[in-house]
Amino acid sequence: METEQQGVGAETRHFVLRPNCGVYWRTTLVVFIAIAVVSLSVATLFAFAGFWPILPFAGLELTALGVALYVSAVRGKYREEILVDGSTVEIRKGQKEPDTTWNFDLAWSEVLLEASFHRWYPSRLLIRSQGDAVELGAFLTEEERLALADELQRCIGPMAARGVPS
Amino acid sequence: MTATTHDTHDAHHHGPPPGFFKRWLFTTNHKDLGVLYMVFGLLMFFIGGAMAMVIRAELFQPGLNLVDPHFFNQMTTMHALVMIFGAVMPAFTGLANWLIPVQIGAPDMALPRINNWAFWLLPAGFVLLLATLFLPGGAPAGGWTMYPPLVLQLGDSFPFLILAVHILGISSIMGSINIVATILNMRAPGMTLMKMPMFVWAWLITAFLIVAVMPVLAGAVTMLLTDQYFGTSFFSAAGGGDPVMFQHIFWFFGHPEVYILILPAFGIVSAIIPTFARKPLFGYSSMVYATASIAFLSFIVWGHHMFTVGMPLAGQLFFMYATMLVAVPTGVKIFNWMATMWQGSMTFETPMLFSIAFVLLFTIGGLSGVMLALAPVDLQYHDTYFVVAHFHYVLVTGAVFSIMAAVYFWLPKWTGHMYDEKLGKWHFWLSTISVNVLFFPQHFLGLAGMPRRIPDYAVQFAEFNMISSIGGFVFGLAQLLFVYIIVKCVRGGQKASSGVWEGAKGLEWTLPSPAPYHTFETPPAVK
Repeated sequence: METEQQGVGAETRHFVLRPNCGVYWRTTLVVFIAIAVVSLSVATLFAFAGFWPILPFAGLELTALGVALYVSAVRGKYREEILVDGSTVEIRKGQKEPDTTWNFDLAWSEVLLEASFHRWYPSRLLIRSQGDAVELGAFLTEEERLALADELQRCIGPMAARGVPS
Repeated sequence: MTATTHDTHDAHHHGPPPGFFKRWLFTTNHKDLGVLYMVFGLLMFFIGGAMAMVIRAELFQPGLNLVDPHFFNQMTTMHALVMIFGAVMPAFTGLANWLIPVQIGAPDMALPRINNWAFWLLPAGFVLLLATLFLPGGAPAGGWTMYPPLVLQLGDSFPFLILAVHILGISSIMGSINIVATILNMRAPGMTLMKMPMFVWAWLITAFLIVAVMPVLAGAVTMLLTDQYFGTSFFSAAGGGDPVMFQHIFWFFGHPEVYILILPAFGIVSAIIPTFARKPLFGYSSMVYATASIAFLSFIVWGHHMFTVGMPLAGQLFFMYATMLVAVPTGVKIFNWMATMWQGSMTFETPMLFSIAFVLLFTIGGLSGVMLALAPVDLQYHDTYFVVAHFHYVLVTGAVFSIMAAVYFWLPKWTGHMYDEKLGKWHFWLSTISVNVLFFPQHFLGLAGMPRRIPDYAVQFAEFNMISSIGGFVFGLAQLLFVYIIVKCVRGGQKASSGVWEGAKGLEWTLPSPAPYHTFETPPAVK
């Protein structure tokens, strides 16, 4: 996964989180169609010859393949942005171009790293402000998430650490 | 503007999760799963090999010597199923798991949890399959091809066999879907299809084949099940069905399956030969197109397995010529490997030795394949030891030798240690000599008329069978040396550099040895 941090100015920090992969959707579609044409043609021919049980297996498998390709392609285009300026924290999420935005007051925001309920599961990184919480970097590795939490805590941090009375 | 990236050197400090079970049972890491697949494949290689030893011991002399004929049939059937679905396919999938992400600059496989599930279905499937050895009536004994009506007479092992095949099929499909999704959606920016290493190309095409033909196998075994238990007559002549149609359906799966077992080997050898010849692979594009052509042809040649069923002349001619066509792209590949070696600065480390042996011995298997493709000749060779010799040259000196070459080639990258080169060469020469002693005489046995799948034979075949069995025992023993070399390398040895081999090219060789637990979290630069 790629974690990118861009400093726009002295007062502004900009973090971009996105998976490390180049999605070639057109190629993916071509390959999927090629597999589907071969698999369904064969299964249909056998079905016409009376050996229909091959067809549902082909359908099931192509559905699984299609879902897998779609899910992995969508994941590949996912990105999260965190923009921290002097007074606000703006979080944007979405595919390719972020389509969901949260705006928090910097003074009333905090970075939380919640341990999972069981050690088999990863931790959760949240930015919380006035009752609202947004999870970040769910697709990162544990090490990357810890590093990002550390970076975010330095610029968002508890109010006391920033010299603001709580 | 600044950019902070977490490169592989950071990742080097982050190891696997603590605890044996957390690491190995629940892992979604592609390297861990690659190791699990390969260890499983090695275990199955020895189980299947033990069955082969029973077969060769029984055939050491004419007469019924060691086991009863029914158990002998169980051994031939189970040996094939274990070696195909338990040893070779998982070993290749393990190599794919380990290598594809690091060769395309991806941090992991596209669907890591499905990857874990795909692996753990394998032991479950094989527990079912191997458990049949202890059932009343024993294990499946009708041949790995499961032809009805013979397979319907198996007794208690029949439903176990069908369920095991389904489970192993699901595992293969999930593994393949993951590989397709990874190659298509996880390549580093700039890694276009025609820049991918040949191993990745070979696996993309192999995964295509698996996805295309596995529903055919699943449907075929399901129809066997419904014929047996639910009153259908898909393959029952008494109910208006057609038992020969099962052979068509099975081999429509079975022949591409043969290529599923060999295409990844082509990819491996295409990585190793340029490294030790210190030259780029000759004709990269033609290698890609040849692999794709072989895959295409694999769909239209199934009938050559059934020339003797009473096929119309037009059918025989079609399948004969179509099968002979396979020699063209295969010849392109063999030519390209030889052209890569031509005037190269060759050195002969163990992976290169296995690769050269692969090229030579696989070609022998290919040539006997051309002989078998000739319909009038096949009528004589069908179901003889000539066929056994042919497919063992393709699958042992082809697929298995390529896996051994791959293990020696990438072992320093996996473990961080160089393997013992002297012992590696011992392993190579023992294996190569013994495997030829084992399988070459079987050509003569087949040409002289010895049928396959029999526990006893006419005394005229005694000498060649004895020679073959001796070769088999030595080959089996030599593989213990292989395990010793791997264990020794895992435990220690001379430190391997990141490049490992002087002529090695590719993204995996830019990583430290051993490769860190997490790699390419930041995309590499692809030139």
